[in-house]
Amino acid sequence: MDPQETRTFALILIVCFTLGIIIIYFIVSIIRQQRRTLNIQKSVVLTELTAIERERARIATDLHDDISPVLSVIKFQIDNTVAATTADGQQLQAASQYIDEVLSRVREISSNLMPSSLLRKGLHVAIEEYLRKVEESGLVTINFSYDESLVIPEAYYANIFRIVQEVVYNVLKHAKATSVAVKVSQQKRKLVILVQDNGIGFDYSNTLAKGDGFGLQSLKNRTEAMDGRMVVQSKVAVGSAFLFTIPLKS
Amino acid sequence: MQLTLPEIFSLTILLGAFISAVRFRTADSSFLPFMILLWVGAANEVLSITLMSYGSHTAVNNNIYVLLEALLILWFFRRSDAALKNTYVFIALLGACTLFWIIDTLFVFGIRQISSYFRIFYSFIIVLLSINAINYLLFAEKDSLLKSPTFLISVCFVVFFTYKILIEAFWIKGLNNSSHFRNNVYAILVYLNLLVNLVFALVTLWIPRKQERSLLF
Repeated sequence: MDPQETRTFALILIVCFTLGIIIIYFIVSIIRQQRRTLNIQKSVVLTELTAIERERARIATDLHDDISPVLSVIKFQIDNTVAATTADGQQLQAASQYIDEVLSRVREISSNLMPSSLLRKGLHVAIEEYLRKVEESGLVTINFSYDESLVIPEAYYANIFRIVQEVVYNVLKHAKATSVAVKVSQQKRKLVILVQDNGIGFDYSNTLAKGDGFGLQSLKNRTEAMDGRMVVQSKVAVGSAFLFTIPLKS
Repeated sequence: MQLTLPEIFSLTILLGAFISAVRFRTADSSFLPFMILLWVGAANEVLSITLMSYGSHTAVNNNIYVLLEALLILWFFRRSDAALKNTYVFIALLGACTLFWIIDTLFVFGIRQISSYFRIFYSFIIVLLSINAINYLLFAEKDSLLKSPTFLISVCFVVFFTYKILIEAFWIKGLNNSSHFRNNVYAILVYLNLLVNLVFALVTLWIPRKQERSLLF
Protein backbone atom coordinates (compact mmCIF):
# COMPACT_ATOMS: atom_id res chain seq x y z
CA MET A 1 0.00 0.00 0.00
CA ASP A 2 1.22 3.51 -0.75
CA PRO A 3 1.36 6.12 2.08
CA GLN A 4 -2.02 7.55 1.06
CA GLU A 5 -3.65 4.08 1.20
CA THR A 6 -1.95 3.35 4.53
CA ARG A 7 -3.39 6.58 5.97
CA THR A 8 -6.87 5.71 4.63
CA PHE A 9 -6.63 2.18 6.01
CA ALA A 10 -5.55 3.54 9.42
CA LEU A 11 -8.56 5.83 9.35
CA ILE A 12 -10.84 2.89 8.52
CA LEU A 13 -9.37 0.92 11.44
CA ILE A 14 -9.97 3.85 13.82
CA VAL A 15 -13.59 4.15 12.63
CA CYS A 16 -14.13 0.39 13.06
CA PHE A 17 -12.54 0.39 16.52
CA THR A 18 -14.62 3.36 17.71
CA LEU A 19 -17.78 1.79 16.33
CA GLY A 20 -16.90 -1.48 18.09
CA ILE A 21 -16.55 0.28 21.45
CA ILE A 22 -19.88 2.07 20.96
CA ILE A 23 -21.65 -1.20 20.07
CA ILE A 24 -20.12 -3.06 23.05
CA TYR A 25 -21.12 -0.23 25.42
CA PHE A 26 -24.62 -0.23 23.93
CA ILE A 27 -25.02 -3.99 24.44
CA VAL A 28 -23.67 -3.96 27.99
CA SER A 29 -26.02 -1.09 28.91
CA ILE A 30 -28.97 -2.98 27.41
CA ILE A 31 -28.17 -6.10 29.45
CA ARG A 32 -27.81 -4.07 32.66
CA GLN A 33 -31.03 -2.17 31.98
CA GLN A 34 -32.91 -5.42 31.31
CA ARG A 35 -31.69 -6.87 34.62
CA ARG A 36 -32.89 -3.78 36.46
CA THR A 37 -36.27 -3.81 34.69
CA LEU A 38 -36.67 -7.52 35.38
CA ASN A 39 -35.99 -7.07 39.09
CA ILE A 40 -38.40 -4.14 39.31
CA GLN A 41 -41.13 -6.04 37.42
CA LYS A 42 -40.70 -9.11 39.61
CA SER A 43 -40.79 -7.09 42.79
CA VAL A 44 -43.93 -5.20 41.66
CA VAL A 45 -45.73 -8.44 40.74
CA LEU A 46 -44.69 -10.07 44.00
CA THR A 47 -45.89 -7.07 46.03
CA GLU A 48 -49.21 -7.01 44.18
CA LEU A 49 -49.78 -10.75 44.60
CA THR A 50 -48.89 -10.61 48.30
CA ALA A 51 -51.25 -7.67 48.81
CA ILE A 52 -54.06 -9.48 46.95
CA GLU A 53 -53.60 -12.66 48.99
CA ARG A 54 -53.48 -10.69 52.25
CA GLU A 55 -56.67 -8.85 51.33
CA ARG A 56 -58.39 -12.09 50.33
CA ALA A 57 -57.37 -13.71 53.61
CA ARG A 58 -58.69 -10.70 55.54
CA ILE A 59 -62.06 -10.77 53.74
CA ALA A 60 -62.29 -14.56 54.17
CA THR A 61 -61.60 -14.23 57.90
CA ASP A 62 -64.12 -11.40 58.27
CA LEU A 63 -66.78 -13.44 56.49
CA HIS A 64 -66.01 -16.55 58.50
CA ASP A 65 -65.52 -14.94 61.90
CA ASP A 66 -67.94 -12.00 61.79
CA ILE A 67 -70.79 -12.74 59.40
CA SER A 68 -71.21 -16.47 59.98
CA PRO A 69 -71.62 -16.28 63.81
CA VAL A 70 -74.14 -13.45 63.48
CA LEU A 71 -76.15 -15.43 60.95
CA SER A 72 -75.98 -18.49 63.19
CA VAL A 73 -77.34 -16.49 66.12
CA ILE A 74 -80.18 -15.14 63.95
CA LYS A 75 -80.97 -18.68 62.80
CA PHE A 76 -80.92 -19.91 66.39
CA GLN A 77 -83.33 -17.14 67.41
CA ILE A 78 -85.68 -17.86 64.51
CA ASP A 79 -85.63 -21.59 65.26
CA ASN A 80 -86.53 -20.89 68.89
CA THR A 81 -89.31 -18.42 68.16
CA VAL A 82 -92.77 -19.80 68.81
CA ALA A 83 -95.07 -18.99 65.92
CA ALA A 84 -98.56 -17.71 66.72
CA THR A 85 -100.12 -19.21 63.63
CA THR A 86 -99.29 -22.00 61.18
CA ALA A 87 -98.62 -19.41 58.44
CA ASP A 88 -96.13 -17.62 60.71
CA GLY A 89 -94.50 -20.97 61.46
CA GLN A 90 -94.07 -21.69 57.77
CA GLN A 91 -92.55 -18.23 57.22
CA LEU A 92 -90.10 -18.73 60.07
CA GLN A 93 -89.11 -22.12 58.70
CA ALA A 94 -88.54 -20.59 55.24
CA ALA A 95 -86.45 -17.79 56.79
CA SER A 96 -84.37 -20.37 58.65
CA GLN A 97 -83.77 -22.25 55.40
CA TYR A 98 -82.71 -19.01 53.68
CA ILE A 99 -80.21 -18.37 56.45
CA ASP A 100 -78.89 -21.92 56.03
CA GLU A 101 -78.34 -21.19 52.34
CA VAL A 102 -76.67 -17.85 53.08
CA LEU A 103 -74.41 -19.51 55.66
CA SER A 104 -73.43 -22.20 53.20
CA ARG A 105 -72.75 -19.55 50.52
CA VAL A 106 -70.67 -17.45 52.93
CA ARG A 107 -68.59 -20.54 53.80
CA GLU A 108 -68.12 -21.27 50.10
CA ILE A 109 -67.05 -17.69 49.30
CA SER A 110 -64.75 -17.62 52.29
CA SER A 111 -63.19 -20.94 51.25
CA ASN A 112 -62.69 -19.71 47.67
CA LEU A 113 -61.06 -16.52 48.89
CA MET A 114 -58.63 -18.35 51.14
CA PRO A 115 -59.16 -22.01 51.96
CA SER A 116 -58.67 -22.51 55.68
CA SER A 117 -57.12 -25.92 54.96
CA LEU A 118 -54.29 -24.18 53.08
CA LEU A 119 -53.19 -22.42 56.25
CA ARG A 120 -54.05 -25.21 58.67
CA LYS A 121 -53.32 -28.45 56.83
CA GLY A 122 -50.98 -27.38 54.02
CA LEU A 123 -50.91 -27.32 50.24
CA HIS A 124 -51.54 -31.01 49.54
CA VAL A 125 -54.79 -31.15 51.54
CA ALA A 126 -55.98 -27.77 50.22
CA ILE A 127 -55.54 -28.82 46.58
CA GLU A 128 -57.07 -32.24 47.29
CA GLU A 129 -60.13 -30.68 48.96
CA TYR A 130 -60.57 -28.17 46.17
CA LEU A 131 -60.34 -30.85 43.47
CA ARG A 132 -62.74 -33.10 45.37
CA LYS A 133 -65.30 -30.27 45.44
CA VAL A 134 -64.83 -29.77 41.69
CA GLU A 135 -65.28 -33.48 41.05
CA GLU A 136 -68.42 -33.52 43.20
CA SER A 137 -69.95 -31.07 40.74
CA GLY A 138 -70.10 -34.04 38.35
CA LEU A 139 -68.70 -32.07 35.42
CA VAL A 140 -65.31 -33.78 35.24
CA THR A 141 -63.41 -36.70 36.68
CA ILE A 142 -60.13 -35.69 38.28
CA ASN A 143 -56.97 -37.74 38.60
CA PHE A 144 -54.77 -36.13 41.27
CA SER A 145 -51.28 -37.16 42.31
CA TYR A 146 -48.97 -35.41 44.76
CA ASP A 147 -45.39 -36.35 45.56
CA GLU A 148 -45.42 -36.79 49.35
CA SER A 149 -41.68 -36.18 49.63
CA LEU A 150 -42.05 -32.63 48.34
CA VAL A 151 -40.87 -29.83 50.60
CA ILE A 152 -42.36 -26.59 49.33
CA PRO A 153 -41.63 -23.22 50.99
CA GLU A 154 -44.74 -21.98 52.78
CA ALA A 155 -44.45 -18.62 51.00
CA TYR A 156 -45.30 -20.44 47.73
CA TYR A 157 -48.48 -22.15 49.04
CA ALA A 158 -50.95 -19.45 48.04
CA ASN A 159 -49.43 -18.96 44.58
CA ILE A 160 -49.31 -22.68 43.79
CA PHE A 161 -52.85 -23.22 45.06
CA ARG A 162 -54.07 -20.31 42.92
CA ILE A 163 -52.28 -21.69 39.88
CA VAL A 164 -54.02 -25.06 40.21
CA GLN A 165 -57.32 -23.34 40.99
CA GLU A 166 -57.05 -21.00 37.98
CA VAL A 167 -56.14 -23.77 35.50
CA VAL A 168 -58.91 -26.09 36.71
CA TYR A 169 -61.38 -23.20 36.66
CA ASN A 170 -60.37 -22.39 33.06
CA VAL A 171 -60.75 -26.04 32.10
CA LEU A 172 -64.26 -26.14 33.56
CA LYS A 173 -65.20 -22.82 31.95
CA HIS A 174 -63.74 -23.20 28.47
CA ALA A 175 -62.32 -26.64 27.72
CA LYS A 176 -65.49 -28.78 27.75
CA ALA A 177 -63.30 -31.54 29.16
CA THR A 178 -64.50 -34.72 30.82
CA SER A 179 -61.18 -35.66 32.43
CA VAL A 180 -58.49 -33.62 34.14
CA ALA A 181 -55.17 -34.87 35.49
CA VAL A 182 -53.31 -32.83 38.09
CA LYS A 183 -49.81 -33.91 39.03
CA VAL A 184 -47.56 -32.17 41.55
CA SER A 185 -44.07 -33.64 41.62
CA GLN A 186 -40.39 -32.88 41.96
CA GLN A 187 -37.74 -33.17 39.24
CA LYS A 188 -34.22 -32.53 40.47
CA ARG A 189 -34.56 -29.29 42.45
CA LYS A 190 -37.66 -28.11 40.69
CA LEU A 191 -41.30 -28.31 41.60
CA VAL A 192 -43.31 -29.49 38.59
CA ILE A 193 -47.04 -28.93 38.32
CA LEU A 194 -48.79 -30.51 35.37
CA VAL A 195 -52.46 -30.05 34.58
CA GLN A 196 -53.83 -31.83 31.52
CA ASP A 197 -57.33 -32.11 30.14
CA ASN A 198 -59.06 -33.85 27.26
CA GLY A 199 -61.03 -30.78 26.19
CA ILE A 200 -61.40 -28.87 22.95
CA GLY A 201 -57.98 -27.17 23.15
CA PHE A 202 -57.16 -23.54 22.27
CA ASP A 203 -54.58 -21.38 20.53
CA TYR A 204 -52.37 -20.19 23.39
CA SER A 205 -50.35 -17.56 21.47
CA ASN A 206 -53.46 -16.07 19.86
CA THR A 207 -55.35 -15.91 23.14
CA LEU A 208 -52.46 -14.11 24.82
CA ALA A 209 -51.88 -11.80 21.84
CA LYS A 210 -55.56 -10.82 21.65
CA GLY A 211 -55.49 -9.90 25.33
CA ASP A 212 -58.33 -12.35 26.08
CA GLY A 213 -56.22 -14.49 28.35
CA PHE A 214 -56.49 -12.54 31.59
CA GLY A 215 -56.33 -15.82 33.51
CA LEU A 216 -53.34 -16.96 31.46
CA GLN A 217 -51.53 -13.70 32.17
CA SER A 218 -52.24 -14.09 35.86
CA LEU A 219 -50.84 -17.67 35.73
CA LYS A 220 -47.74 -16.37 33.99
CA ASN A 221 -47.26 -13.58 36.55
CA ARG A 222 -47.64 -15.94 39.50
CA THR A 223 -45.19 -18.42 37.99
CA GLU A 224 -42.62 -15.76 37.14
CA ALA A 225 -42.94 -14.25 40.62
CA MET A 226 -41.52 -17.57 41.89
CA ASP A 227 -38.81 -17.53 39.18
CA GLY A 228 -40.67 -20.35 37.45
CA ARG A 229 -41.59 -21.12 33.87
CA MET A 230 -44.98 -21.89 32.33
CA VAL A 231 -45.38 -23.95 29.19
CA VAL A 232 -48.75 -24.46 27.53
CA GLN A 233 -49.34 -27.13 24.94
CA SER A 234 -52.70 -27.44 23.27
CA LYS A 235 -54.18 -29.38 20.39
CA VAL A 236 -57.61 -28.72 19.01
CA ALA A 237 -60.00 -31.60 19.85
CA VAL A 238 -57.26 -33.39 21.81
CA GLY A 239 -56.77 -31.27 24.91
CA SER A 240 -54.42 -28.92 26.70
CA ALA A 241 -51.48 -29.31 29.02
CA PHE A 242 -50.19 -26.67 31.44
CA LEU A 243 -46.72 -27.30 32.78
CA PHE A 244 -45.21 -25.17 35.54
CA THR A 245 -41.64 -25.63 36.71
CA ILE A 246 -40.63 -23.70 39.79
CA PRO A 247 -37.14 -23.82 41.31
CA LEU A 248 -37.13 -24.99 44.91
CA LYS A 249 -34.67 -22.77 46.71
CA SER A 250 -32.89 -24.24 49.69
CA MET B 1 -4.92 -28.32 -0.30
CA GLN B 2 -3.26 -25.57 1.75
CA LEU B 3 -5.79 -23.44 3.62
CA THR B 4 -5.08 -19.76 4.30
CA LEU B 5 -5.90 -18.11 7.64
CA PRO B 6 -9.02 -16.29 6.35
CA GLU B 7 -10.25 -19.59 4.89
CA ILE B 8 -9.75 -21.36 8.21
CA PHE B 9 -11.57 -18.52 9.97
CA SER B 10 -14.52 -18.69 7.59
CA LEU B 11 -14.71 -22.47 8.00
CA THR B 12 -15.45 -22.01 11.72
CA ILE B 13 -19.09 -21.79 10.64
CA LEU B 14 -18.88 -25.59 10.34
CA LEU B 15 -18.84 -25.75 14.15
CA GLY B 16 -22.28 -24.17 14.45
CA ALA B 17 -23.57 -26.09 11.44
CA PHE B 18 -22.40 -29.39 12.96
CA ILE B 19 -23.89 -28.66 16.41
CA SER B 20 -27.19 -27.58 14.87
CA ALA B 21 -27.27 -30.76 12.76
CA VAL B 22 -26.81 -32.82 15.93
CA ARG B 23 -29.44 -30.83 17.83
CA PHE B 24 -31.83 -30.50 14.88
CA ARG B 25 -34.47 -32.96 16.14
CA THR B 26 -34.50 -31.81 19.73
CA ALA B 27 -34.16 -28.03 19.26
CA ASP B 28 -37.03 -25.54 19.35
CA SER B 29 -38.45 -25.36 15.82
CA SER B 30 -38.55 -21.55 15.80
CA PHE B 31 -34.76 -21.68 15.31
CA LEU B 32 -35.05 -23.79 12.15
CA PRO B 33 -34.34 -20.81 9.79
CA PHE B 34 -31.21 -20.03 11.80
CA MET B 35 -30.03 -23.63 11.61
CA ILE B 36 -30.67 -23.71 7.86
CA LEU B 37 -28.73 -20.43 7.60
CA LEU B 38 -25.73 -22.10 9.27
CA TRP B 39 -25.94 -25.11 6.94
CA VAL B 40 -26.26 -22.94 3.84
CA GLY B 41 -23.41 -20.73 5.08
CA ALA B 42 -21.20 -23.76 5.76
CA ALA B 43 -22.00 -25.26 2.34
CA ASN B 44 -21.19 -21.95 0.65
CA GLU B 45 -17.84 -21.61 2.47
CA VAL B 46 -16.81 -25.15 1.53
CA LEU B 47 -17.90 -24.60 -2.07
CA SER B 48 -16.08 -21.24 -2.27
CA ILE B 49 -12.82 -22.71 -0.94
CA THR B 50 -13.08 -25.68 -3.32
CA LEU B 51 -13.76 -23.40 -6.29
CA MET B 52 -10.86 -21.12 -5.34
CA SER B 53 -8.51 -24.09 -5.07
CA TYR B 54 -9.37 -24.88 -8.69
CA GLY B 55 -8.83 -21.25 -9.66
CA SER B 56 -12.53 -20.65 -10.35
CA HIS B 57 -14.51 -17.55 -9.43
CA THR B 58 -16.86 -17.66 -6.45
CA ALA B 59 -19.08 -14.76 -7.50
CA VAL B 60 -22.01 -16.92 -8.65
CA ASN B 61 -22.37 -19.01 -5.49
CA ASN B 62 -21.71 -15.96 -3.28
CA ASN B 63 -24.36 -13.93 -5.11
CA ILE B 64 -26.90 -16.72 -4.65
CA TYR B 65 -25.82 -17.17 -1.03
CA VAL B 66 -26.41 -13.51 -0.06
CA LEU B 67 -29.99 -13.73 -1.33
CA LEU B 68 -30.59 -16.95 0.62
CA GLU B 69 -28.97 -15.39 3.68
CA ALA B 70 -31.24 -12.33 3.49
CA LEU B 71 -34.40 -14.42 3.06
CA LEU B 72 -33.47 -16.91 5.80
CA ILE B 73 -32.72 -14.13 8.28
CA LEU B 74 -36.05 -12.48 7.49
CA TRP B 75 -37.73 -15.86 8.04
CA PHE B 76 -35.83 -16.24 11.33
CA PHE B 77 -37.12 -12.90 12.60
CA ARG B 78 -40.62 -13.86 11.53
CA ARG B 79 -40.45 -17.22 13.37
CA SER B 80 -38.82 -15.80 16.49
CA ASP B 81 -41.75 -13.39 16.87
CA ALA B 82 -39.35 -10.74 18.16
CA ALA B 83 -38.99 -8.33 15.26
CA LEU B 84 -41.35 -9.14 12.40
CA LYS B 85 -44.85 -9.62 13.74
CA ASN B 86 -46.66 -8.03 10.83
CA THR B 87 -47.17 -10.50 7.96
CA TYR B 88 -47.51 -7.74 5.36
CA VAL B 89 -44.20 -6.16 6.40
CA PHE B 90 -42.57 -9.59 6.27
CA ILE B 91 -43.88 -10.26 2.75
CA ALA B 92 -42.95 -6.71 1.65
CA LEU B 93 -39.37 -7.17 2.90
CA LEU B 94 -39.08 -10.59 1.23
CA GLY B 95 -40.33 -9.04 -2.00
CA ALA B 96 -38.08 -5.97 -1.70
CA CYS B 97 -34.96 -8.09 -1.11
CA THR B 98 -35.75 -10.46 -3.98
CA LEU B 99 -36.55 -7.59 -6.35
CA PHE B 100 -33.41 -5.65 -5.41
CA TRP B 101 -31.31 -8.80 -5.87
CA ILE B 102 -32.83 -9.54 -9.31
CA ILE B 103 -32.28 -5.99 -10.54
CA ASP B 104 -28.81 -5.60 -9.00
CA THR B 105 -27.39 -9.06 -9.64
CA LEU B 106 -29.11 -10.19 -12.82
CA PHE B 107 -29.65 -6.96 -14.73
CA VAL B 108 -27.18 -4.30 -13.54
CA PHE B 109 -23.96 -6.12 -12.64
CA GLY B 110 -24.57 -9.69 -13.82
CA ILE B 111 -24.37 -12.83 -11.68
CA ARG B 112 -20.64 -13.33 -12.40
CA GLN B 113 -19.76 -10.02 -10.79
CA ILE B 114 -19.96 -9.14 -7.10
CA SER B 115 -22.06 -6.09 -6.37
CA SER B 116 -21.93 -4.36 -3.01
CA TYR B 117 -25.23 -2.51 -3.36
CA PHE B 118 -27.53 -5.45 -2.59
CA ARG B 119 -25.22 -6.42 0.28
CA ILE B 120 -25.49 -2.93 1.78
CA PHE B 121 -29.27 -2.94 1.26
CA TYR B 122 -30.04 -6.22 3.01
CA SER B 123 -27.43 -5.63 5.74
CA PHE B 124 -29.20 -2.38 6.55
CA ILE B 125 -32.57 -4.16 6.81
CA ILE B 126 -31.10 -6.88 9.04
CA VAL B 127 -29.47 -4.35 11.38
CA LEU B 128 -32.79 -2.50 11.77
CA LEU B 129 -34.69 -5.75 12.41
CA SER B 130 -32.05 -6.87 14.92
CA ILE B 131 -32.44 -3.60 16.82
CA ASN B 132 -36.21 -4.21 16.83
CA ALA B 133 -35.65 -7.70 18.22
CA ILE B 134 -33.25 -6.43 20.91
CA ASN B 135 -35.77 -3.76 21.97
CA TYR B 136 -38.54 -6.36 22.11
CA LEU B 137 -36.44 -8.77 24.17
CA LEU B 138 -35.40 -6.02 26.57
CA PHE B 139 -38.94 -6.11 28.01
CA ALA B 140 -40.26 -9.51 26.90
CA GLU B 141 -37.41 -11.75 28.00
CA LYS B 142 -37.97 -12.95 31.55
CA ASP B 143 -34.56 -14.56 31.89
CA SER B 144 -31.09 -13.08 31.57
CA LEU B 145 -30.53 -11.69 28.05
CA LEU B 146 -27.15 -13.41 27.92
CA LYS B 147 -28.99 -16.75 27.97
CA SER B 148 -31.37 -15.76 25.18
CA PRO B 149 -30.30 -17.23 21.80
CA THR B 150 -32.43 -14.71 19.89
CA PHE B 151 -30.71 -11.83 21.71
CA LEU B 152 -27.23 -13.21 21.05
CA ILE B 153 -28.05 -13.85 17.39
CA SER B 154 -29.48 -10.32 17.04
CA VAL B 155 -26.40 -8.78 18.66
CA CYS B 156 -24.15 -10.76 16.29
CA PHE B 157 -26.25 -9.57 13.35
CA VAL B 158 -26.00 -5.93 14.50
CA VAL B 159 -22.22 -6.16 14.87
CA PHE B 160 -21.53 -8.17 11.73
CA PHE B 161 -23.90 -6.41 9.34
CA THR B 162 -23.04 -2.90 10.58
CA TYR B 163 -19.42 -3.64 9.79
CA LYS B 164 -20.48 -5.28 6.55
CA ILE B 165 -22.21 -2.05 5.48
CA LEU B 166 -19.08 -0.08 6.34
CA ILE B 167 -16.69 -2.50 4.68
CA GLU B 168 -18.80 -2.78 1.54
CA ALA B 169 -18.96 1.02 1.41
CA PHE B 170 -15.17 1.25 1.82
CA TRP B 171 -14.86 -1.50 -0.78
CA ILE B 172 -16.83 0.55 -3.30
CA LYS B 173 -14.82 3.66 -2.33
CA GLY B 174 -11.53 1.78 -2.65
CA LEU B 175 -12.18 0.21 -6.05
CA ASN B 176 -9.50 2.47 -7.55
CA ASN B 177 -6.98 1.52 -4.88
CA SER B 178 -4.56 -1.40 -4.95
CA SER B 179 -5.76 -4.97 -4.41
CA HIS B 180 -3.55 -5.09 -1.27
CA PHE B 181 -5.54 -2.18 0.19
CA ARG B 182 -8.88 -3.80 -0.67
CA ASN B 183 -7.79 -7.14 0.79
CA ASN B 184 -6.73 -5.44 4.03
CA VAL B 185 -10.12 -3.73 4.28
CA TYR B 186 -11.89 -7.04 3.69
CA ALA B 187 -9.70 -8.78 6.30
CA ILE B 188 -11.53 -6.79 9.04
CA LEU B 189 -14.70 -8.63 8.11
CA VAL B 190 -12.87 -11.98 8.16
CA TYR B 191 -11.84 -11.50 11.81
CA LEU B 192 -15.36 -10.40 12.67
CA ASN B 193 -16.71 -13.44 10.85
CA LEU B 194 -14.59 -15.66 13.10
CA LEU B 195 -15.99 -14.02 16.24
CA VAL B 196 -19.58 -14.25 14.99
CA ASN B 197 -19.16 -17.90 13.93
CA LEU B 198 -17.88 -18.82 17.39
CA VAL B 199 -20.80 -17.05 19.07
CA PHE B 200 -23.20 -18.81 16.68
CA ALA B 201 -21.68 -22.16 17.70
CA LEU B 202 -22.36 -21.28 21.35
CA VAL B 203 -25.86 -20.12 20.50
CA THR B 204 -26.69 -23.43 18.82
CA LEU B 205 -25.78 -25.12 22.10
CA TRP B 206 -28.14 -22.80 24.00
CA ILE B 207 -31.14 -23.12 21.70
CA PRO B 208 -33.95 -24.32 23.98
CA ARG B 209 -35.21 -27.86 23.62
CA LYS B 210 -38.49 -28.62 21.95
CA GLN B 211 -41.29 -29.13 24.50
CA GLU B 212 -41.53 -32.88 24.28
CA ARG B 213 -44.57 -33.94 26.23
CA SER B 214 -47.37 -35.97 24.84
CA LEU B 215 -50.87 -35.22 25.99
CA LEU B 216 -52.25 -37.81 28.39
CA PHE B 217 -55.55 -38.16 26.63
